[in-house]
Order: sequence, then C-alpha cells, then structure tokens
Amino acid sequence: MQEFNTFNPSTLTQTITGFVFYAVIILITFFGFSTVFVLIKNGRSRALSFAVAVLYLVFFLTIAAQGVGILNSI
Amino acid sequence: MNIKKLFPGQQEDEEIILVVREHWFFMFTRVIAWLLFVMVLFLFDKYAPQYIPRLFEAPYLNFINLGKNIYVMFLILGLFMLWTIYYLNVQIITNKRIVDIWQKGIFSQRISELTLPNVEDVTSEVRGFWSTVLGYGNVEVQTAGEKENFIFQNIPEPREVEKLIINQTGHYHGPPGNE
Repeated sequence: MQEFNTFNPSTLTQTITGFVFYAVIILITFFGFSTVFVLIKNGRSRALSFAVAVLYLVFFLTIAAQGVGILNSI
Repeated sequence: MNIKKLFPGQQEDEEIILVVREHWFFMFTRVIAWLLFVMVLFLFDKYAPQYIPRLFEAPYLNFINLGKNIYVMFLILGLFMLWTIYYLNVQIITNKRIVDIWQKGIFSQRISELTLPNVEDVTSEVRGFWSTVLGYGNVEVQTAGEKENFIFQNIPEPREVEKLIINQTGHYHGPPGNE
C-alpha cells in the first residue's frame, strides 16, 4: 500500500519553495472546486457533471501528491 | 434528461423544443490552443537539456520538476474550466419563450428570457468559409419594443433554428404573411 507524502521542511530553501507551492495549490484548489461546484449546480446532466468533476479531481490530486513528493526531495 | 435542472424557471405546461449550444468547432479551437500550451512542456523537455544542461543537474532539477508539476496542474484546471464554460452556455427554445444562459466565467452567469409573443423577426446568418463548410452561424431574434435583441452566436444549423423559432412564434402571431 502506498503511503501519502507529507512535507516536513528542514532548510530555508525547502520552506520558501513549500510556501510558494502550497500557495499555488490553494489557488488551483479554489478555482478547481469552484468549477466543480458550478458545474454540478448548473449542469444539465448530473451524471456527466459528476463524471467530469471526478476525472478532474483524480488528475489534480495525483499531480498535487507528486508535487509534494518532489518538494521533499529538494 | 433532467430538464427542470437545466431550466429552473420552467412552467409546468412549458415544453422544451430545442437546446442549443455553441458549435463544437469553437470548443475544438480552444482545445487546439490548449494543446499549444501542452506542447510547450514537451518542447521544453526536448530542447532545454540541450541548451541549458545545468538546469537538469542537481540541485536545480527538482525545482524544474516542481515547476513542471505546477504547470501541469494549471493546464488541467484550464481544460476543465474551458469545458465547463462551454457546457454551461446554452440557449433553450420552449413553446413559450427563448432562454439564453450565458456563462461568461465561473463566477459570472447571465440568463435572459424572451417570451415568444415579443418576437418580431428572426434572422439567420452564415458567413465565412468555415461557417459554410461546418454549418454554423448566428441567429438574431429581434424583439418588440426597446428590449435587447437576442443573438445566438456560432450555433449549429442556424437556418433550422430560425425556422423553428418562426414556427413557434406563428402560434402567437398567426402563420407568416397574416400580419
């Protein structure tokens, strides 16, 4: 079973990079989740809206997790 | 189809005749533009190591990978938002009115309604090479009084939509030529 990466900064470079990375993640999460909300709220077909939203979230969470992994190796 | 969800103000005896949205060609052009941004990533991976080899050595490599990771997240978000805005932009023609739902952005939506008795004239326009080949164009619905005209831009089969609106308004104005 794969473990989730957690970020524990140990150097100043890691701290600054981590801060920038998480600021970007928060921004993308805000727009991403807002889009999911608007799509599901206003979409004609609820099933299609859910399917597309889930697809987006899977991609987003996978790449974000990869980013945390990279952040740890800095 | 969950029609009430699509059209919240729908009356009980109101029947949806047609739901149109922008022609797929316009979504396709946006996807092509999006693919250009994807290509930037591939070109960077292909050519950057040749011209800036130091960037691909420690300790810079991890920063480059993190930058690419963030770029990919923006790309996926961009495609998701493009599709959502395309999908939520619809025009609905019912047996009582025309509804134009214009999703300008994620946080901006405008809904305009026009009752069929207020329709004065309907004009369809197909202009240009791609419009003619792919069969899309504009339909302008002129309204009575000082109300703003309805313009359906770049919809598929504009002539069919024009005929449909004229047929529907005929129930209120009488057959064409009787006015």
